[in-house]
Order: sequence, then C-alpha cells, then structure tokens
Amino acid sequence: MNLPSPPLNRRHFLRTAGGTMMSLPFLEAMSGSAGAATSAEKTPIRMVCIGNNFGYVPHLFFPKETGSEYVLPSQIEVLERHRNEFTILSQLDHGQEAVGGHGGVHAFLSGILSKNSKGFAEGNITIDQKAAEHSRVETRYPSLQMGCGTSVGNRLSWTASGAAIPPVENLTTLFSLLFQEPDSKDIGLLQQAHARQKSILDLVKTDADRLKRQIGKADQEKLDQYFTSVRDLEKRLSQSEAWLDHPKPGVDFQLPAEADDFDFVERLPLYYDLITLALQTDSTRVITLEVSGIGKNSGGLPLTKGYHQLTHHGKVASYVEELSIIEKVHTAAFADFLDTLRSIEEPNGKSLLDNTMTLFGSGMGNASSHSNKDLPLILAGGGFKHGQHLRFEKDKSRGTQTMACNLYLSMLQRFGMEIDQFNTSTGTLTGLELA
Amino acid sequence: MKGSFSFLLALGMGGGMVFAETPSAEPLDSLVPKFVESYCLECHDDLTTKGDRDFLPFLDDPSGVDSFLALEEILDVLNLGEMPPEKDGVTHPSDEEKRSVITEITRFLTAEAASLAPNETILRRLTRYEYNNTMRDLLGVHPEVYDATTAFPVDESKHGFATVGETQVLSEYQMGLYLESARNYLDQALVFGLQKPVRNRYEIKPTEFSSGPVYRGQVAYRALAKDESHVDIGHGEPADRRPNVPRSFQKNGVPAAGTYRITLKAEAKGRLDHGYDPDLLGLDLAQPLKLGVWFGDSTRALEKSTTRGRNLIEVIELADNEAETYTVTTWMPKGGVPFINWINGPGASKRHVRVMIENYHPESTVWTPTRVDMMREQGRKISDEEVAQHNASVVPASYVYRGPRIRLYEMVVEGPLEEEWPPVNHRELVGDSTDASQVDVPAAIRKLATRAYRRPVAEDEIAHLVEYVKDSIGSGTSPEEAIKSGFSAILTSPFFLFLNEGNADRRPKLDDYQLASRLSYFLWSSMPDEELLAAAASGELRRKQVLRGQVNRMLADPKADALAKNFTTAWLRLDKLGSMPPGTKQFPTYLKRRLEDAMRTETRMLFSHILRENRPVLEFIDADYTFVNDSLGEHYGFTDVVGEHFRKVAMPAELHRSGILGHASVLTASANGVETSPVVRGIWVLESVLGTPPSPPPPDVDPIEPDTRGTTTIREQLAKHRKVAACNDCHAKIDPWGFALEIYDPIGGLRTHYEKNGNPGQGPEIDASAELPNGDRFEGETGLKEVILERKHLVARNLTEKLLIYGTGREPGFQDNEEIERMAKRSLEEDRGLHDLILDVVSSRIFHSR
Repeated sequence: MNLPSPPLNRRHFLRTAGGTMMSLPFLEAMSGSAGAATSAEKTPIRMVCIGNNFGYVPHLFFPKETGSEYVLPSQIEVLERHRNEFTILSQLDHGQEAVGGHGGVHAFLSGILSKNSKGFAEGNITIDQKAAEHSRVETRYPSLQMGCGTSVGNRLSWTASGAAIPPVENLTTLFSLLFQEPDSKDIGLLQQAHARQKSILDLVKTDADRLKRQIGKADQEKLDQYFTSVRDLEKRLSQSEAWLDHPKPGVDFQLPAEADDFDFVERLPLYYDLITLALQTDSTRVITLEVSGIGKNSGGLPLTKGYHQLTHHGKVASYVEELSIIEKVHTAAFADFLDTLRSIEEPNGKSLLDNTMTLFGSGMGNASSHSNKDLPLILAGGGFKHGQHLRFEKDKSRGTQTMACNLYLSMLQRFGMEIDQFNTSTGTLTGLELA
Repeated sequence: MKGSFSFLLALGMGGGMVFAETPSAEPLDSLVPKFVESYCLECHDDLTTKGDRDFLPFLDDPSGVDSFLALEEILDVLNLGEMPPEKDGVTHPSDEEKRSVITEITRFLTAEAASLAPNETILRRLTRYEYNNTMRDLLGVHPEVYDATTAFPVDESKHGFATVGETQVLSEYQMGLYLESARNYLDQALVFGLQKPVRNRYEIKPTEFSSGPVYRGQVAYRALAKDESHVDIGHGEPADRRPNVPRSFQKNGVPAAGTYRITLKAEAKGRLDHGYDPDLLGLDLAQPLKLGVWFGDSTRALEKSTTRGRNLIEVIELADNEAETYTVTTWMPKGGVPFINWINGPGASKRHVRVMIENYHPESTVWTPTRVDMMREQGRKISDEEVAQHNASVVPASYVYRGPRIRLYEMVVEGPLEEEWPPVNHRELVGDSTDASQVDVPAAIRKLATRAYRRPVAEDEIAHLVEYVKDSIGSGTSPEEAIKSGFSAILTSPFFLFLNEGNADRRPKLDDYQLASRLSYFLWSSMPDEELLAAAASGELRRKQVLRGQVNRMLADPKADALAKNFTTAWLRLDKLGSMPPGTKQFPTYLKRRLEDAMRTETRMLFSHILRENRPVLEFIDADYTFVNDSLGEHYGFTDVVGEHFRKVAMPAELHRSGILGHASVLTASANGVETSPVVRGIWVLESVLGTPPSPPPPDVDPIEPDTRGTTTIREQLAKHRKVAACNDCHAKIDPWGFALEIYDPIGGLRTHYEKNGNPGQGPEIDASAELPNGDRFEGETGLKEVILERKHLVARNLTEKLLIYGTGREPGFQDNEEIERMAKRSLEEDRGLHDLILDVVSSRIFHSR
C-alpha cells in the first residue's frame, strides 16, 4: 500500500484562523498573581511526560549508531529538524520490577507495578507526581493529566498511596479548567463549597480518631492512609481556594467547537496546543499526556486493521507498514510540539523548549512480543545537552543494566528537587549532562 | 494445596502477622529430608537449580522457618503429581513413599500454623460497586443508571479480588471524590424546597426526529413520511454516533427526576420483503430489527464522541410489518434525555441506500454532472434541459426505498409517575417536610448514622455532627446546606467507608453487627437490611439456625444477583474483560452484537442457576447446558436461538463447549483481543480453576517475539521456548492446560485453523493435544475437562477458597487450610451443591474470625 501524505496539521489552520499564538498576553494577565513567572530568575522549569500504550517498532525507532552521528530511523525521522534538542535513550527499562506485557505499561513513569508497590517507600509514585510535590503550591494546578484516547489499565500518573489518577480526555473540559473564568457568582459558590468541604473533613477526622482506638495494629496503616488523604485534600482545597481569587489567564486561542468529535489525527495536536498554553501561562508545571487508542474511524487514518491488532504484527510487512502510519502521527505531533515550544521566548531569555523537559515514550518496549524491556525513550529540551543517541550498557549474563529511574532521578534533580533516589534508581543517568 | 503466596502471607510478610520466632511443633521427621535427597536433589541443588529451586538450604535445617516455603512447594507438586517428572533416568518414589511424605509435611506445617497468630482481615473499605449499592439502599438513589462514581479510580485488586483490605488504596484524589459523590447522591435523595413536580406527558411526533424525506443515501437515514404519520430510521449501532433524539429534549432533557413511562408505536419494515438482491444490499438481517430505548443522563451524553452517560433501558425486538405498542419504564435524573436507535442496524446507511436507489429506483436517481457525462459517453443523447427536467422531478429516495428500517409512529414520554410527595427517600431521611428548617436535626443524624455505620451509634459519636449542623444554621448557613454537609460527613466517615471489624487482639471473632455486615457485603455487595440488623440486635445471628435462615432469605432476594456478578468477575478474572477490547475490524460482532455484555450475563446466569438449584460445584466444569440469547447463541454456532432474552439451552456436543471453560467471557478475558496464548490461558486454568498458580517467570527471560510471516504456530514457538531448560521447567506445567483451549479464538469463537495475516481460518490447523508433566495426555476441550475433573478436589478447594477471599476480604493463610480442605471435601459429597457450600462458608470459623 502507499503511505499517505502527512495528515492535515490542524494547528496551522488554527493559527491562521485564530491569530498568532505567540502573542499571548499571558504575562500581563498573570502579573501580580502568585507564582507567576514574572522575572528572569523566576522563570520556572517544567516537566511534560507523554506516554502511549503500545510503544514503537523498536528497529524503526532506535538508531543503529550511537553518539551524535546517527541516522534517524523512519518512525522518528520527522524529528530531524530538532536533532540538537533531544536525546534518544536506548536499553533503559525498569528491570524485573515492571514486566507484564500490557499489564506492565502502567509502570512507565514509576518503574514499579502497582501490585508490587508495597515494598517501596513511596509506593509506585510516578515522576510527574513526585515533581508536583515540589512545585505544587506555585501554580493553579499542581499537575495536569490529559488523555487522548485512554485506557483504564494503562494510567500514566500514580500517587504515592498507589492510586491511579484518571486523565481528563475532553478538550473542552481541559480548556475550561485552564482558561475559562467561572462567573463571580460561581466563584462565591465555589468558595462556600470549599469551606463546607473543609468543615466536613474536620468532622470525619474526629471519627477517624475514634476509630483509631478501636482497631488493631495491622489496621493502622490503612487508617493512616485515610488521615493522609484527608490532610492532603485539605491542602488541595486551600490551594484552589487561594487561586479562586486570581483570575485565570486570558489566551488568544480558540478551541474548535467540535474539537472533541474530531478524529484522532486532528485531535492529538490540540492536546499539545493546550499543553503549550498551560505551560506558557504557568497554570501548571507538570503535565502528563496519555495516548492509548486512536478511537473511531481508524483515527482518520487509512488503516484496514485496528491499532492493537497491528502492534501484533509478527513481522508481517503490511502490518508494520500500517502500524508505521500511526506511529508517525505520534512523532509528527511531537515534533510540531517542539517547534511551538522553541518559538516561545521566556523571561529568562531562553525558549519554552529549554525551560521544559519533555519525556516522550512508552512503558511498552516491543508490543509484538509484549516486552516491557528496552523502552522507547526520548528526552527533549529542559536545558540538557542533547543531540545524541545514548545506548546504555546491558549485560544479561551478568545481570547489569541501567534503570530508567536513573533518567527520572536526573530529571527530578533538574526540576530542582534535592533527592538522590527515585523508586528503583541506582543513581543519576550517566552521560546525560546539562547544557 | 496452596501456592507459595499464602504461606508468605501467613509468615507475616504480607499481612502484618505476628510470627513465632522459633518453631514450636514436633520437628519434621527425617523421612522428608531423606526423600528430598533421594528424589529431588539431583535437579534441585545449587549446581542445577532447575526451576530456580535449590533444596540444599532446606536440608541444612528441615524444620527451620526458612524451610516452610520449600515444604509447601514440595507438597504442592506432590499433590499435583507434577514431580518428579516423567523422564528417562529419573528415579520415582513409590506411591507409599509419596503418601507418607505428604502426610508428614502436612502434619508438620499444620502444627506450625497452629502456633502462628491467627490470620486477620486488614481494615477494608467498600469497593466502588459496594459503595454504589450501599448508596442505593441507604438513600434510595439510582447508581445503576446514574452513577456518581464514574471518576473513581479502578479498585486495586488482589488477583482479581477488590475486597482484600491489604491491597486497597486510598488517596487524596479519591477522598475528594467521596465528598463530591456523597453530595451528588444527597442532592438526588433530598427534595428540600421543591414542589411536587408536575406530571408531564410529552407526545412526540415523527416530525421531532426528521423534518422531511431523505433524497439520496445519507449517513443517517431519518425519513419523514409524506403525511408525517411516521419516521423511518435506517441506520444505527450500539455505540451510536447519530442517535435519534426528540427535538423537545435536545436542549434540556426532562425537567424533574423521577420514574418515566416511555410508550412507542413502531414496526420493522423491509427486513424480509425488501425485494432487493441480498448480496447487493449487503446487510445482515438474520436477527429481527431491534429498537434500543435509551436515556442520556444529560445532553452531553449525546455528543458524537462519547457514549458515557448513556443508559440502555431496553431492547425491543420489532415485529415485521406489524405496528405494535411497546412500553418501558425507567427512572431518569433531572435533565435526562430519552432517545432511541436501531441498535442492531448497519451503522451508516449511505452506501446501501445509494446502491439500492441506483439499481432499482431510476426515478429517484439524481443526474449529477458526472453521471450525465457518463451517460453521454455511453452514447445517450441528453440535453441540458432534459437533465434539469429529470432532476426537478426526482422522487425522494425515502418514498421508494424498500430496505430495512425501523418505522416509528409515535413516542410518548410520561412522568414523573411518583404519586407521593415528598418521595419516600426524603421522608425516610428527614421526615415529611420539604422545609429544611423543620427537620429534627439530632434525630435525622442519628437515624442516618445508625444505618450508614450498620450498627447502633452512641450519642457522643454523633454529637460533633449535630453541633456542627446547628452551629452552621445559627451562623447563617441555610438549613439545607447545613444538613447536607452533616450528612456528607456521615457518608465520608471512616465508620461508613470502612468495614470496622474491631481489634483482633482483643476480640478475634466478629460480633453480631460485624457479622451482619460481612454477610450482607458477601451476599449482596451492600449494607445489611433492617431484618438482618434486627437479627444482629437480638444477639441470635450467630446461632446456626438463625444464620442459615438469614442466608437463605438473603440468597432468595434479587440483591443476591450482586454475588453472581461480582464474585464471578473476581474469581474468573472477568475484570480483564474489556480492558483490551477486541478491535472492531478484526471482530466486528463483538461490539455490533453487544457480545461483551452477553458474555458476562451467561457466566452470571450459570452461577445463579447452580446456586439457586443447589447444583454440584463441578457443574462449573462440565455443565452440558448454558444460557444464551440470539447474539451469543449465534457466536457459539446455535442456529435456533431467537430474541434478546437469555434462556437455558442444552449444549450439543458438536459445539464443543461446556462449563465455564467454554464461556466466551472467560476465553475473551484470557486472550488479549488480538490473539490467543496457551500460556495465558494455561495460567488462567491453574489460577482460576485449579487454584495452583505457577511461579512467576524467572528474572530476565526474553519474551517470545512472534514471527507470523511463516507458518509457525504459537505451539511451535512455545516448543522452541521449552527447549531452553530454564523455560521448560515452568512451561511444561503451564502450556498444556492452555493448548486445548486453542480451539477458541480471542473472543471465544470456535475455530479449526489459525488466522493468517488477518484472514481467519487461513493459517495452520489447530492442534489441541497436550501432555502434562506426569505423562497424562489429553486432547481438546473434552480431554481437558476430564483431566480437570480428575483433580476435582482442587476445583472444589479453589472455589471454597475464592469464596472466602471474596467474603472475608483476606487471603486464607496456612492455618486456614484444614478447614478449607474439610469444606471442599464435603462439597464433593453426593447431594451437596453450591448453596450448601455457601452455607458452610458463612458458618466456618474463618468467616466468623476477623
């Protein structure tokens, strides 16, 4: 079959139709509000993690050569123009802690399966939630979870108490969370609701104290989780209460009215648009985007088989060809996203790309064999030294390998956290340096 | 016997157990280490370590605590007859020797177990479904059609069991959702300040669905009759992108919550008498045309990109060419939007309507410029005037089209039908007035707390709530808000969300109220009703006759459907159903025929049947009957099952299916939606049917990367895999159980050949033969059933144990083995069935202990 021409780039259309995105008046809108990025010193560092559910065909994703003189294979060829703005990382994964085929994908950002989380200090907390702990009070939303075609079994974001956070899929909802000002009457009602909820939490704490005296030792851990949940919720309520007084940033961006009815190929770039706007307006500093399925109508792509079916290609050429169409939509949208980030200058004189580390990849290493080994990973921006393909040592006979959590630890340190351990990390990632 | 897991748990590594430092039982007799030395050590020493097992440390200290795990494993493989393997050069013990070793290990471990502190249930909270059912019974709301918990994270489960306290998690995120959903349900249940809603009668005319005829093939076919007497609907599917919504409800939905009656006058047209070439029409019309009657919980549920918030009220099979009146009744929330669709329709109507018009109805064929060019090329002389004349006189397609479509004459929506005001829920909760300032606050709080906490409450337990509500009202909060906040606190209290079973150190046995809750969450997945609480209050519940009486009563209640639904989901891992749904391209019937729901229903109905009729538990394996509707029947190869409703049918031998091993639910859940794997299904048999889970894969094995370009079957690939010694140790025990099930495709359809490059049946032939490690050979599903039934004690044991996990919220430890064995053994006696087993389970020491 013939490969299709690249899909319609919705954003180009939006740009011209909706004015230029670059001239957003966000600085004005945000000035004076708490935590806004108003000066060079204060320009924050952000983190975006994008995960899909089926990975990428390994030999079409990882270059043969390492170092800086590598040839981009077909699935990531579109990133050529960003060559010096990202690093390809190969032979990284989560070792034995996170295997299970489709059931292992949810450990992508934590390195730990939810069912194995008990033995770890912070359960199977994911890198984004760890980062959000650090930046949570600075922004309206400690973190945002978006999803473009999601799957219940493959959540990207997990809390320290082992609960998955479902992403918001609806673009209209996301837009309104970020930019739509509730009317003043609603703000008043919301304030009252928050106050009431806090009183309710006070009341149930009294009950929990009483229950604590009635239960055995083994139960205390469960009740502690209850107490922690209540306290954390109080914090969240206080934070959103504080933000109710601050107007949401205005943006010169129009979400197409029918956006949520668009096919996958048109919808995917819109999530990236909202990510850009959310970062640019400092509405949050931590975002995950889950892309699991392509939805109805073959996602608007010329496919004869389903996405999942295609990933079980068994090396059949026609399957791999069709699968490549989908995988290239992923990487093309990502490349466009990097373009946009690069084009936005921030108060510290750097681009939004430099101020945002973006991890692009999957908890699935090779869907055809259901392997969670050798995860596809690309790290872009964030002020790291890029332009290379780093292949990490892996020696099966000696059982040595580099944990993907080492990468996450490096990212978290770059995010400003003074920690020397993240889940299964054994250190920071050797070879990944700051620019 | 149990796998290694439970013993670790008993040792305190999983469950916070207190563990005796020094073994206190009579030491293990030397016959066991001697046996291990003679028959096991050759392969399982520090050099060979087959299967990752090295028994040298065990031999150093056979009675030591570090040896318990090894002993339990040895017991497992001896009981299963797996070891020593049937291989050349392997010495085998006599049956006599095996028996005495089994007896001695069992004695030793049982004695050791007795010295362990009892296993206990970790404080567990309500699962999502339990929470919803409890809200239904507590507040009289309708979570089954209007679910306020859709944003809840999926409950973490232990091997499928979400009730296990140890595994459950709670987060700030979920806490926030508890607050929101409590408020949401209270807003539904309480009608403060509201007038009795007027009962409306909406007579919806055909013009509300369509404004005119259809001219040519369109994606959505909604055609108004010339005289506006009916509308024809010629498109549709279960997840409809173009549902048919009456115009009166498109903006706002119904103005008040309540029960509504929907009356429809409709018929099926053109299914059998369309007179077209069926191949040209290309539609599957074997089933009657079915009218789906739905409501969306708001207008948002009707957006094209979603099916969330849509509730299917009923599916009506329409009579062909005979207009009949059908009535359905449903509860709808305020803003609910009733709508209809042709649920087993062709999706879009564009292609086939266009083709029929072109081939059969020249008078309706528009002469487009392209067509005119074509006609002229073919030599027809047509002037532009003739073209214009023809096009001006074109008859709308829908006036001549004879293809299949649903004809609707009228739709009447009437409600709310409730006569009482305020509604009974409101009165139960706060009394007869809709004026919140009239509510007796202390009484209302006491009443709700008593029911919500499932036990009597002391005044000082609710004092802070009463005080809060009163203070709030005093300081200017509206009484309605204050009461709802106080109620929300009850519904978010740990006394409500958790099943408080006290402190095992002080009281290892449950008290009457705790037992009542455990019973009702076991059998109903919901709170105890008044009668059960009364039995608890009388202090009689623990008496055998009273307990049995309550259980019999509860199982006869429709609420016991929850057991069939939630227990089979956990036991058979049907939670996996729908997590990797089969693709619509590869398996179109899965969605179109709504097979997933049908599959669940079949399994649920088999369970209910075996329970209700008190049939032997082994019928789960060999039932020669099942429950199907038309779609599932068709899937299985029945040709004579007509209609939506499920009915019991005998399973003919040629359909090669019996018991749960032939249920499409199980076969779909144990595949991944694209292809099958004997490994996954083998593990499923070992875990869910025999209760002997295999050990997890050794570290760092590479998964098999399929290469389907050639003709290699999964069996050949696995054979290669098994050549690697490290893999063979486990796969020789796993794969055979799955091979026989290869005769079923990823959605449980029968097949004789694999697919090749997406073409079903074009690949290699299925080989359904297998050989177990002990040399037993069998073939196909009948063979598999036989070897499973030879291990019927394992089947019964597993079911007993799974019922206990589900009912108690904990995994049994080794110290529970003896009692479980006893119940399992008893369940296999003549004349005993599932109902008896459940009675035994709820009467057991395990069920009554924390």
